[in-house]
Amino acid sequence: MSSIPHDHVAGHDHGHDHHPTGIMRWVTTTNHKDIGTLYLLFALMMFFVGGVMALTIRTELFQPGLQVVHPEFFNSLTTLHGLIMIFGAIMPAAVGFANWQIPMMIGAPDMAFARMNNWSFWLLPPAALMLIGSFFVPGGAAAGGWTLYPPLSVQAGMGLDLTIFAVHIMGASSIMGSINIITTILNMRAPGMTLMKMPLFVWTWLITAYLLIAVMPVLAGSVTMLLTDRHFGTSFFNAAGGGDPVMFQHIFWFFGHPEVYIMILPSFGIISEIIPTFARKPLFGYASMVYAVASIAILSFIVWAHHMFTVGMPAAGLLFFMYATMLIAIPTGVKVFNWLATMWRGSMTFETPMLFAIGFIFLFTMGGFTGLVLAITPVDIQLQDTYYVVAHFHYVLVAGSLFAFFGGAYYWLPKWTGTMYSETLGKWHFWMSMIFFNITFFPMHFLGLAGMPRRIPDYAQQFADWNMMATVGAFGFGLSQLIFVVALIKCIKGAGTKAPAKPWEGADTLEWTLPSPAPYHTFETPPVVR
Amino acid sequence: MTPDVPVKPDPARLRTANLRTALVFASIAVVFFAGILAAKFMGEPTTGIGVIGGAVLLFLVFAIGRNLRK
Amino acid sequence: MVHRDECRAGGRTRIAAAGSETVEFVDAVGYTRNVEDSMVRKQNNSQTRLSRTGGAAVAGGVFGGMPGMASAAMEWNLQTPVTPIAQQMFDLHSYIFWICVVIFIAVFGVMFYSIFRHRKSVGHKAAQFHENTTVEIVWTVIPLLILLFMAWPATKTILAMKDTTAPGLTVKVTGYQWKWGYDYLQDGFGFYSNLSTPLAQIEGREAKGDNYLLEVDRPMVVPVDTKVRVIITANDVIHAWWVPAFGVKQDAIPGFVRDSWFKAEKVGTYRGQCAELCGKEHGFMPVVVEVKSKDDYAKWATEQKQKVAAVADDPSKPWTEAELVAKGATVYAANCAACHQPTGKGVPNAFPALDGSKLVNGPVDAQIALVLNGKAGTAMASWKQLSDAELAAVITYTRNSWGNKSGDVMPAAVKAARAGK
Repeated sequence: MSSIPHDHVAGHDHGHDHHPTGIMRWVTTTNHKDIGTLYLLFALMMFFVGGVMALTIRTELFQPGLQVVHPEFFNSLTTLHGLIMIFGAIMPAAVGFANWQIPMMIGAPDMAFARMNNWSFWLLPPAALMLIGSFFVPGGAAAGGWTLYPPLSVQAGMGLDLTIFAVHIMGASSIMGSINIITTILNMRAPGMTLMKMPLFVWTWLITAYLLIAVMPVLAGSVTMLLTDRHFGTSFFNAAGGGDPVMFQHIFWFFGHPEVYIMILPSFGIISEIIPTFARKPLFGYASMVYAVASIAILSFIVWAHHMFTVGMPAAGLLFFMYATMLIAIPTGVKVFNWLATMWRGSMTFETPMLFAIGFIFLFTMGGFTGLVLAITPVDIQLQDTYYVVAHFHYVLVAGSLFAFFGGAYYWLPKWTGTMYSETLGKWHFWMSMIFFNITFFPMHFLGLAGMPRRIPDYAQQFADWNMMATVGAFGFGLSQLIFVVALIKCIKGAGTKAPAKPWEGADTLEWTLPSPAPYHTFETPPVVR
Repeated sequence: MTPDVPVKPDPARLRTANLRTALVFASIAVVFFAGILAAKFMGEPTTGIGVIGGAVLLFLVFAIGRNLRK
Repeated sequence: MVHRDECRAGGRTRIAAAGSETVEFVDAVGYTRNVEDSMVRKQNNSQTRLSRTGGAAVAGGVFGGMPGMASAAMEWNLQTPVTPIAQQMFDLHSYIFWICVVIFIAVFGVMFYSIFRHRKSVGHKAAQFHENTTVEIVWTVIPLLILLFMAWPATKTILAMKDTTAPGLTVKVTGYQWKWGYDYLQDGFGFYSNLSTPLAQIEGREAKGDNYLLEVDRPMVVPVDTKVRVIITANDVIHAWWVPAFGVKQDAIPGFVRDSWFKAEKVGTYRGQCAELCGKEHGFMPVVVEVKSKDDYAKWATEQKQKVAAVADDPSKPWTEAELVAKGATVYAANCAACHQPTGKGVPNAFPALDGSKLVNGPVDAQIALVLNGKAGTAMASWKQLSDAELAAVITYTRNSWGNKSGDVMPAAVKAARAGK
């Protein structure tokens, strides 16, 4: 996989580079563009691994009854699907975008710590191997859900230990990546690029990196306690030894809720770049967008217990977390309104990146509404741990994060590869994804309302029709993603029209001042921003 | 503030600044990780609040201190 | 603040087995009761129809006509509520749903208008405005007001929902891997409630019944129009007791007691499921509650009490091997077969086989000890909640089934082992 882009990018090296060639070039690279490519390709591979798991899950759920997999293996699939998609696909993809774009958008020659950048990437493949390899150890892979709640996770076999180590490694990678990104943004902006002149993508990543540094250690701490509970006789979460299983949930979600914003904020940034470009109009309310992102990030620390409304909190706790959660709707709403105001009275064209951006706004807002419904504690009591929740977070993570990443990929592929992507393939990819996504996940709202719990391998008869529909949609959605692979390979191979330095009429960030494809080294002399 | 002629930043000074920033954030991460374990191990809710509060203060002191020198 | 009602069971006794999760509750009811002082008590009288605001009544009318838990395969909305709280949840959901629909239409009406009118292909020239503090304030304040209108009825429902005072009946619900236990604390009887859907239906060898996966051997029974307080805990891992029609979903947490309540207003059978992933058979531990008229309930309760007196096995009674094996087969099917499989072959790498097992064919004492105490760090729980006779029967059954042939165990031996602990 890694040999495909190699030849191409290497062809544009400056003469004075003496890095190794072949596979060693990728292992030893400290170039932010190479590392960005590695991150993005890794994320794409993991996306397909997690996708195959999702399709196996949907196959089992095609009809009532047990047909394809055993219940224990089914649980492993749902667990690993979640972990791989979150830690293997969405987060690395976001870091890939950061690596490629942040230096080019702020006029820096590279990331602040080029060698650490290499380490943070190369920690990921071993972690992924541990996760996938855990299927083959005695007892099978972790099967207690991606949230790893004890005491269930204390019962599990060796697969869970591998999962814990993988989470540790990926956490370390994320923290190193975040430190790198923060340092780059704070110290290496081109002269004149004040904080409030930075492109919004850079802003969202700066805030995301802060969130990561605050919460990844918390996750690492909670899984470490889980590990010592499992093997060293501690009783952090064991009631018989004086611990409290619910405490794990509090700590986990203290990480887990900021984590969902970690996954969505970079997408907000990408959308905020794409919409003004294709509306040919400056972003509406730049400052309020920055404040909205910051408010979301701060609020994300005081809403964690809305994931736990059914654990039996006192009324005061339920009320506090309900109100705090509802408040998040306000900055999120501000962002959506600002995007609409940017489009309003613009001069819009609808190339693939813009289609994905509009699809993002449309479907993410639906996920936002279901989020509001779930924030209402009494309603959440009925919907907690049902397919309604599954529908909700797939609307914000698939139609949210993932669609934004596809939009971003089409937007910047001309800059990265020097070749325009095929507009026909891009449009097919968008419309197929859009239609099949809704066929897959919209019925899940009804399933949840009607009372189908999540994480079950078999279900009662009244859930049969919607499940069948969801499975059909899932296969359609999965296959549609192959269109992207074709479009991507065509770009990498240079099959298509040659991209000009600035292929988008309305684009005005710094990366478009560079030739396409972007040279191996850029902005060694910083540009001046006025 | 903004120079008219683009200049290459002094690599040595940039490197020191970068390292300082990185150390601040790495220490925050370490404090959070060790703090959460310590807080749970001692079983006192105040430990956790103390650790988080201390970390926030430390960060503020650094952030303000860095700007004072400029 | 969050943990104020995590009522740690007073006077619990720890079971001897190292690392076992099992915790016993001594007088959990008495203990949890004084915790309620922190909750609002005064809601009881005004709790019905709290959230019936105008929009909700209309919305409820639109969706309220949908059938509840029929066997139709396409459901659109929450199940038909049969308790005041579930009704409030239903109305609240409809109310918020319609607010969202209105906002959705307004916002995306604007977006699609813009998409059709302000496009380059129809020759629209881009305006260059990019800031307006007034509109920013407007679209911050208006959502805030809308949220206040949502939060108000929700707050009232939360306060009503948390008020578990003055119950007419208290039932202790315990989650096990993978079944529910119901203990009628005031009447001194209790029983387990296992999935009764035959394996043949799950594996597709038989046509699936109407209540596929939502049927149990012994449902929980409660009287109609009575405030029933459920105190909920678990024996091994976290489960969640959920009956959609009652609007009750409460996690069952090992080592802790939580409570909730419902007041069913209609006689009938209501079905729910475990809602918190609890391992392999999570999808196979339904909750079934039968709501009976007060007279029928009283009759049922009297029968149960008599049965308890009659069924109490005399541990010193000598049993024949055939009797033990016959009883053991039932106990095995209800408690053991989920993991160790009806064939006794287990599941490779997950659950050990009993057929040919060293332990089952070895000394009797080791097997009794394992079954009584469970095995730390594995899914093998302690089964000490079964009676001496049941344990003796199931051990005898495993020792004399499939390829095994290693002798009988009398209830007296189990009693001795239990006493020795």
